[in-house]
Amino acid sequence: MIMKLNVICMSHTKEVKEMENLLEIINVSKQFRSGLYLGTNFKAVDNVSFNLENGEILLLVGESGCGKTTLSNLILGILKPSSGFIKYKGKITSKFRRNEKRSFIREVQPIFQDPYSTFNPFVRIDYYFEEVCSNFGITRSKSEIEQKINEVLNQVKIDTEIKGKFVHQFSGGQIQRLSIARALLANPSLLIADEAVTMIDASLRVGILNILSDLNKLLNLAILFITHDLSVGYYMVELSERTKTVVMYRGTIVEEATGENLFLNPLHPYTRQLIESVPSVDPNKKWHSAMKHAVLELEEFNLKGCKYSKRCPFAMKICEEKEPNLFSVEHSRVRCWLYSDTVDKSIALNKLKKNQ
Amino acid sequence: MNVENIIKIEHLRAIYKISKTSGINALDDINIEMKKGQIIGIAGESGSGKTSLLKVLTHSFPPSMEIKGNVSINLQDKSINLLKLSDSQIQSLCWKVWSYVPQAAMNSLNPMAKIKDIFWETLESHDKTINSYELEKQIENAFEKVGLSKKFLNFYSNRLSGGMRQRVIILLATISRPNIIYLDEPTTGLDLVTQRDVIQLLQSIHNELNNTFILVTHDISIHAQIADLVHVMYKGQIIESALTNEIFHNPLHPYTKNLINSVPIIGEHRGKIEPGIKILSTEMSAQGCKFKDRCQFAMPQCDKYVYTYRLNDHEVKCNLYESH
Repeated sequence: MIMKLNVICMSHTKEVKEMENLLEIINVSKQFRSGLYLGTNFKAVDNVSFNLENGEILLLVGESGCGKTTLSNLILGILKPSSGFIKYKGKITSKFRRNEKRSFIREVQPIFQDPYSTFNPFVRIDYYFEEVCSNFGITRSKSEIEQKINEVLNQVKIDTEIKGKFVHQFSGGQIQRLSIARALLANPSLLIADEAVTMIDASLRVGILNILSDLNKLLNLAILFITHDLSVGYYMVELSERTKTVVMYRGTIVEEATGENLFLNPLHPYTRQLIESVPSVDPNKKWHSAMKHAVLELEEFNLKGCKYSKRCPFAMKICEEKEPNLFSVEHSRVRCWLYSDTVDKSIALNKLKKNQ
Repeated sequence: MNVENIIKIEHLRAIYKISKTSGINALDDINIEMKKGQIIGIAGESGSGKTSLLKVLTHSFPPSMEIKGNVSINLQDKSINLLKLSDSQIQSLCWKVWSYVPQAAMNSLNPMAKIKDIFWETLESHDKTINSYELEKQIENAFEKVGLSKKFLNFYSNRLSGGMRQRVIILLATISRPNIIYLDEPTTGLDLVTQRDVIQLLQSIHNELNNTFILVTHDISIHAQIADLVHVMYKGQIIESALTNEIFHNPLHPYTKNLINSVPIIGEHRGKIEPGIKILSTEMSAQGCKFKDRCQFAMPQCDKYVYTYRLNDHEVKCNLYESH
């Protein structure tokens, strides 16, 4: 049976490989209104484009309020973009037919941040899993369902019996594993993990990251991994072969790079700050440099120039007036005037050298 | 540094009563002496009893909690037996002797009151003699010092971001200059940049006031940044305690070792980290070591007793060090 399932998986992935991009985000924006009456408009996601290939891991990094979750909701179809398209397997998601929509819902599976609120507390886990199997049309026969569930539980390394148990009988780390198992039951080709390890205790975090990277290799599963913690992101990059990292700030992409480049050689001042802010377990490595404090979020969203200019230690005059484009530098693309050829940046570069 | 003990906890046990006969041991024989002017870190996963310990120390435990043992706070002129105070005594001591930064920054400010009024109400309820004009000046100065604009005083809390709210709460706890400040997960739920901002703020406040901080967080790397000494808790017991340098460079307990090893470090090619502990849904340890069901070095004698190994200031509860 396992052989048979593998064959199904294999043929399934072959089909997708012919089309290169599994997911394409093309100039997507989402506008929200803040305030009850005559509020101000702001763009939570502003003209974002990237591609996700089949079997690739894409890390989406940024602090709270940068538009990560809005973007994942846009991809899942929970929200509709104000402008731009999202293409899945070459087709625009908002123009799906009914059967296409059905297979999209099955193939793109979310894993949420809070494991405790993912499951219905009144439903037994085994019943829940059987329901997922029959609803997505995986198999109909009882014995096949049972085999599928056992296989999936093996993949997430849960060896305790789940039959007849409710959610509260498991620990937080186990529920997050069950939540991954639930997603796997649908034979997905893309997992969207929105802060999937943030609520898990530090000692069990690496276990879940190991499972995700194993699944990526074993099933050629694409993962959109959303996190604010760059050290978690670095661990995923180290474990997997094909990765891409995208850093967002206030709705725009500020830097993108493949593999380890972004972590070892960060270019944008914001990315540098993110990497510096990862607390070290070595008590001898303490933070010394002072930080510029954040201003109100809404003000920053509506800035005319670079959105980071109020907090940037290297801010120049042009940064406040004009928003930079994405400049290509070696292996990465970065949205910062420091990397433009047409701007006089001698003062800022001097500061940068001193800082290093 | 003054080596006077400010808090002394002896044989503290706390039991949450479920029925007349059964209960959950939230704290199981805790003995700590906390020295004045230090930042004391308490680490441990969820369910280890960190918050229960703070509830006892701030005297905010529920009536269903049964407490045994002794907790005393030693001030310059007097000594207070914490567990034998009346409600009015607690109200007069709170915010003067100790104050508290609660767990969830996003939800702990009253959404119906302006920031100014929250400050006024909190401080006025603990000290009736306070002067409103002086207080406002004091708050404005404090706000400026941490980079918050004065206009925020007239805002409702929903207009501030998570990091700003956390800074406001920390100011609220420190403005009356109490001897002890309890911090319950001050950085959890904040992203890394804001987290660093909050830690640096705490460090500067500690340098200025030179009072005692008790910092409770599950994030061990926060302790590495700011704490002077760390107690690691597991299932209601303190399983290891040592100075920060010692505990991070030479951890002894298998649980602490795993906790420190499982933090990925950027730029170090360590490859795959295998978690050294098992995950279990239910643990059955009435006797002996509480960690034995998840420990990879568990021995037969772990079922019966736990050995306490001491070397200078480093204390660990583990049978692995029995032969030393």
